Amino acid sequence: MQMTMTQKILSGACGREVIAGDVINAPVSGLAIHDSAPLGIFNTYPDARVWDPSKIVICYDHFSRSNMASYHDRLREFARQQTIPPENIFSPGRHGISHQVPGEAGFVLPGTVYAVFDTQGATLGALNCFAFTSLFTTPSVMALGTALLVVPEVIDIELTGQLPPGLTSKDLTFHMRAILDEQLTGRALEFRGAGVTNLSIDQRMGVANAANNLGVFTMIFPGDEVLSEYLHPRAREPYRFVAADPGATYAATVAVDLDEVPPLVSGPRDIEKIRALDEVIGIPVSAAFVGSCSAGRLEDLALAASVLEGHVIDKSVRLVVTPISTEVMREATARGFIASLVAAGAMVTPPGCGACYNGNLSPLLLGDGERCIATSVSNAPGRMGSTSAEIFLSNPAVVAASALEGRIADPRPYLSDVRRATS
Amino acid sequence: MVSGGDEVECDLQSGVIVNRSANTSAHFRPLAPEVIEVLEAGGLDQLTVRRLGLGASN
Repeated sequence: MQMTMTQKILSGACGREVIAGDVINAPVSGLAIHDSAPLGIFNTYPDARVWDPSKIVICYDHFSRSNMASYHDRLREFARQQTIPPENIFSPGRHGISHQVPGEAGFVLPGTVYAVFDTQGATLGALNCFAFTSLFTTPSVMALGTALLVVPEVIDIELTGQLPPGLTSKDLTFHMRAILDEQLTGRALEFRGAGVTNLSIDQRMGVANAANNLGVFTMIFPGDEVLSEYLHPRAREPYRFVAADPGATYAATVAVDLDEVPPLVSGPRDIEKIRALDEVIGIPVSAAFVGSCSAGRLEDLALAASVLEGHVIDKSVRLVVTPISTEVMREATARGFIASLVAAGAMVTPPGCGACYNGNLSPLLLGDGERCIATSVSNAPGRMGSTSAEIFLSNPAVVAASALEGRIADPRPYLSDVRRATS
Repeated sequence: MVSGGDEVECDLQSGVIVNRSANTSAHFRPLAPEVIEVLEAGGLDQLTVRRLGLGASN
């Protein structure tokens, strides 16, 4: 049988050939949880044990305020009871977002099935694996090491070309939302084509992060030299890339030319309200945010820093930057991006979900009637503070330029140094 | 095939729905055994507890 990547990975895990529509109990290679994950049966049945303590990764990302310490205590106690190794517990000092850190730390490998409690778990599909959100089935997956899944149908996405300078996965996923008129719900997107090589792992993770927003079950990128380089210092075990067979069956095939992706903005109040940047330029903003699991990676920080370099933000704007992980913060510090951001007037917070998640350490809680431009995952009312605040979503260059001008702005006049900063 | 107040019997395993009031029937794709197993256990958590061989909660 000619198989998609989805079929190959799930067939390999199950030990038998599977086809779209099959209901399976798929063995997982690992599972990542964060500070708001439910423990369910582990609370009810003290004798319950996780299937393999070495396969569970715990990341602190959503909550950091001192009055929310109980969220951390709860998981520390769980980890002790379940003998989860300290190596797998990413506490402050090593912490970061739960669907970033397991990839950085080499727990997630090509060809595997990887579960993440968080809604954006598909992010790790950038690493040529079947990554999915386990949400409230998480206690069962932790106990049994298997996940009850329906094998999804696959939409084949052929990427060509290269994103224009200053554009990122943020624009690409908004563009995909605008052009894909196929049924998306419950399906998987698999990528191929020459354009894949032109997307860094940071950008691929940013794309796969949008699976939940597009309504697809997951996304899978193929393996290539770019991914090999990423995994080389990280992978904890040997791995093999999985490729789709020629002639595999797809629900649809869609061509996306990266050269044709325009700068796009989503919102306010509705992630599916997507407009050309030109249509919203000039709208005043008082808050700006670079971060989240959508766009808090090294390239995102580099892009924001390059726009801000040598400038100071408008005095009427609060700009907050939150690196996605400790590794990214360390690297952004070493390369001088953090210094550039702070010099321009940004406040840089400890790593994590940042202002994207209301209720955490970020100081960017939006007040009544405020307007914010952010690289976040969601612009739902109340997501970043007051329900009467408006949130626009864009790439980090647009956010940075908007912070400089106090209104939604075109970053292109500031982009001359981008290539130097990201090389 | 169904009106308000009809008595309907649905067999999830065989994929048959019978309208006893109208004396009609129809077929649908039966639920997978893996899903039936969850329903019979009373939910995924209950099935998990059973698989773990755990008894009543404390």
